[in-house]
Amino acid sequence: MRWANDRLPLEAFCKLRIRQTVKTLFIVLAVLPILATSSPNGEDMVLIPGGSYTPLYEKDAAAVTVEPFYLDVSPVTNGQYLEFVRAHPEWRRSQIKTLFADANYLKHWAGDLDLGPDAAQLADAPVTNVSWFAARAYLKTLGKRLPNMDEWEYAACADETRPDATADPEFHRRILNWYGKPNTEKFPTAASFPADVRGVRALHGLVWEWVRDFNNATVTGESRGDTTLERNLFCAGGALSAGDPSNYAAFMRYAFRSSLKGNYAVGNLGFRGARSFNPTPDTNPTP
Amino acid sequence: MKLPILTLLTTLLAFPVLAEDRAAATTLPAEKPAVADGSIYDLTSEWHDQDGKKITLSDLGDKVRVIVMGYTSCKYACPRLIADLVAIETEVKNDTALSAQVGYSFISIDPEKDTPEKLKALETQYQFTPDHWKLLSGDEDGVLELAVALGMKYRKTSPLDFAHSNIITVLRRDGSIAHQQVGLEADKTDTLTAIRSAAEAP
Repeated sequence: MRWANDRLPLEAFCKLRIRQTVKTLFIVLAVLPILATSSPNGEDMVLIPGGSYTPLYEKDAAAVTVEPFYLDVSPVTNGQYLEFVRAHPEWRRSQIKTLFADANYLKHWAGDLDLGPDAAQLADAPVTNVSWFAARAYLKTLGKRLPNMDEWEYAACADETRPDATADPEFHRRILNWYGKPNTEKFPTAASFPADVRGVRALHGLVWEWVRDFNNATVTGESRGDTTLERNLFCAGGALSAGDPSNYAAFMRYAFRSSLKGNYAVGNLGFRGARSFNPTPDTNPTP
Repeated sequence: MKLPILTLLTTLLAFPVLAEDRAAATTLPAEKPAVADGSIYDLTSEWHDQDGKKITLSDLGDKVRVIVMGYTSCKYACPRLIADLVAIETEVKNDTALSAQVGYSFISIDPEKDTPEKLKALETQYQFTPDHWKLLSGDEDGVLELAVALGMKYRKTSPLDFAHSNIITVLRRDGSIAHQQVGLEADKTDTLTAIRSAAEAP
């Protein structure tokens, strides 16, 4: 596997720290960002090696193969999004078409181009109150896209030491603890979260994130009707009553996604970018 | 190994706080599809019709438009969905003045396979009148955007097939959604009423 050495930067970092001299530390600090930044454009993305995971959206689902892809280390920040709307007036709060975002769009900002009194803190915190359409438009300007649901879920199986931590009840407990916490007014920065084994931060615990195909979660191959969601939920509920809480956090994410509309702007919903490892030309003129 | 049930219950109860009231994860979506507000015609994606002519969605705004999304190789739901659409057309045709103002569109969710030729074959098969029927196919992202805007869920389930919701949407001339009929062989009374009032609107 070409990507099997994916964990090397972190391990190398740990070993070097044991020997630590000031000199090596400096070298490591200088090299680490380069190692983590394996995206074609040298941006703040990491390569998520391909693999497979078992999604929740179908009963007795088979494992889904996920091709390698690049994922942003952190969710997009208010500061980054501000630069985008500065350059693209049609995505400013006062200009945006209602098809693309509802009235809550960027409502935590003081104005079109004004983050308000908390600007300094807000600039580095993840942007929320952004719609699916807006998230896509932002990413398109960078040659990125939203991660697919399978990609996001697959990446989100990792913790600080393991690419797949889903067999560990403690992993799920941490996520569920976050889901149980009331929303905070101010979000911390993603940088304040530990990096997972691949260098990705805050997939859990900071904000919910848009996925490209959030509208696919509620249909199954068996049924072409519109009543499948309830059945899906009961399937998940069945998993729960069978005493397997491992999928419960994922179940909540699917349920959350299926409650969304493309123009919803929600106070704790942000996004991060992805890019295919072998990008096929993205065929998509978007407004 | 197992989370105490109490923790799960607490989590369930606390969750809506987190997700904001209307997007609460524990709330099942209503029967009605999650449609966007605003005009569908603000989508700028490019499509081709059954004659291979390039068009944008706003080109459909010459008439009140009744649309479905499906794919031509679909054996199960789509023929029934198209039959529903034809049944609506049959009713509308009873009123000549109204009929002139109403168009119908089948929009493909399978851009890979639904070439203009496939669309043309569909036109021939159902004897659609080209004045009233525009059959569209585009690209993957355009399909996704339109589906999201219409509140339609779909997913590729095999190289040949898709699972998708069955929705008939009535669009006013400005591209806003006047009505949606959900499910196969649903009662079309409200749809017809919506078409009539959409035709009366400027």
